[in-house]
Amino acid sequence: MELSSIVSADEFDAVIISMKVAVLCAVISSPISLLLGWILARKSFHGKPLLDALIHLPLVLPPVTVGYLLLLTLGIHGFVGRYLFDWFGIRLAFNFYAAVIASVVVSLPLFVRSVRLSFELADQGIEDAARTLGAGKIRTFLVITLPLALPGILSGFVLSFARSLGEFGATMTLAGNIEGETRTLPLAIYSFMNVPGGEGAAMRLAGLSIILSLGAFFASEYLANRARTKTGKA
Amino acid sequence: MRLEIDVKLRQGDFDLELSSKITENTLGIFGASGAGKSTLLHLISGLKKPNTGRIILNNRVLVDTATKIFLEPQQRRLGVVFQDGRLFPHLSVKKNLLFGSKNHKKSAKRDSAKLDFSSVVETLELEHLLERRPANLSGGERQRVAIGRALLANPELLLFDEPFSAIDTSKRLELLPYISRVQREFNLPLLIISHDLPELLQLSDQLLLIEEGKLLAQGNSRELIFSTHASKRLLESGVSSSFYGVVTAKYQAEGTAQITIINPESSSTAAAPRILAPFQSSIGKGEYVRAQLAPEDIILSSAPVEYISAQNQLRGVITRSRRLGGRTLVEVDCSGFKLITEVTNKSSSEFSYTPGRNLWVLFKTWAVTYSLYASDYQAAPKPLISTPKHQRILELNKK
Repeated sequence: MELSSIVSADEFDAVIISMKVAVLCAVISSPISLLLGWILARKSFHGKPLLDALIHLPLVLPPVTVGYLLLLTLGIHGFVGRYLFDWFGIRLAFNFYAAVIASVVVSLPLFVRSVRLSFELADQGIEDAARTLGAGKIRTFLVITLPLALPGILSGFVLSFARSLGEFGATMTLAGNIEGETRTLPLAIYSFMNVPGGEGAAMRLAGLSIILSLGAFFASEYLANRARTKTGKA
Repeated sequence: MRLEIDVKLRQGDFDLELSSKITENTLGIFGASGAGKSTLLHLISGLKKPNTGRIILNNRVLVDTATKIFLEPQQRRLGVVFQDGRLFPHLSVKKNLLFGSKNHKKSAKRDSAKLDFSSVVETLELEHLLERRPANLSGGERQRVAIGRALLANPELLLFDEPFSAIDTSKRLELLPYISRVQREFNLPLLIISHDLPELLQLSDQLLLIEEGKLLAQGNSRELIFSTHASKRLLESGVSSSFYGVVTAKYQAEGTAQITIINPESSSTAAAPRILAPFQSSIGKGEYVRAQLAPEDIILSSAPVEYISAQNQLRGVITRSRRLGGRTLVEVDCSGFKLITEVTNKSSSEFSYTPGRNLWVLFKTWAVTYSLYASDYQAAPKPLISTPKHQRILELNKK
């Protein structure tokens, strides 16, 4: 049975958009979170509490506020978005990319926290041992630290993916609710609820979103378990 | 080995200020927990930078704050065996072992590698462990892998940080032969850090004593025990007389083994004293052992004693004695076999235990502890037997 035979075309679109946004969000967040998580776990510098607070801000702010702040920044009249548009013709509001950006910003604190924790737990004594065996800082990071932190990084990746699937407020504010472009699953459910006779579609999409989220959760458990056995922490 | 250390490091309210020249091929670094031993190891291996000072190994400057030279740990080529092994948990034993050799292939200056994989695996008996993961190894096996891994990085010097502390007490003796085998087969200088003096003495006669971040004394344990600053510390920590010997007979039914002492000052074993030690099935006849005898297990007597259970009675002469509080330290030479014992000042004056006095030394079979040093004593190079020729006792004036 094809998915398209159960749900209508615009419902199916919402699923595809959601998946695309979530995958892109997790992928784009990965290098950023690795870098930030590593800096927060291993470096000490003057502005560290400020950086920490800044990264965590989207976690404590209402998502709509985050979206609004992003709009003030990235919108075509925003103080960054204005130049992006004038100089490069790039628009980062009310389109698909805006939906991805909103997801990245909102899910980043979760990803960074998970990465940071796993870097903090990776035994630095083992890294010292690698150094005394002749490995430089980069090889030590790639061959020792990264694999040891892998379970936490994977779980951060899945958290980011799942948080993006559930993202509503910031997406709505920054990317709008454009059918076929920024209307993700939650936005589609909301839209169907506001349309007379849309309850059936809303219900179906709610079911799909449960399946997707649970799937992500089980995938993360499986990957984390595999990584844990590999690192000998079973 | 020529290792020159002259460093100062302040860490919180702990100050390490240490200066020493090390020329011994095997040196034990002894001190209580928190004395600064591990900090010293970190400084030598490059994991910590001194505030001021320098460390020079065989004319190679590892760090010198005056000329702003600092070699990173990966540039120093020092093998470090950490106390818990610090194996890479996500790699197999084989990959752990090969980790260091991969790094050093890249470096241009590769000396003729006398340390090849198969000889290290054979020496440390790691063959059957190669495919395992570190989580499935015992404490002793883990240490052996850690030693092999350090060796295969082709180091100039091997540093041990509390090599026994992560091993069950009952299994500790099993690691000893491996360390001495490494010492012998690869002829590498060893620095061994420990807070456990009896264990340290099983590996090294040469000691460097650290107390509160300062060098207390340096030299041969037997000399140090008669020195001003170190003797009290050594006695409190369980110093014992260490010696080498060959198992010349085994009497399983009687529960004993005969050990012929190797006299470090003469090459022949003809007149060497023989003692009885507990029977150990794992150590065969003809094998070379390193043994210990604690001062408190020895009884001095003016004449041989009949009707006594102690199996060992050796004739000797007092070579040194020294008062230390209420007790007197006495060194007795039994035809080249030098033993240290302590008696109360009362016995000392009653029997006039002064240098030159002839007497008998008595100890039980069970007082002797020994472990395998080599299966063939002829194969053991002579320098490993301590020679008191180049004794240097460094005593720093305490504040």
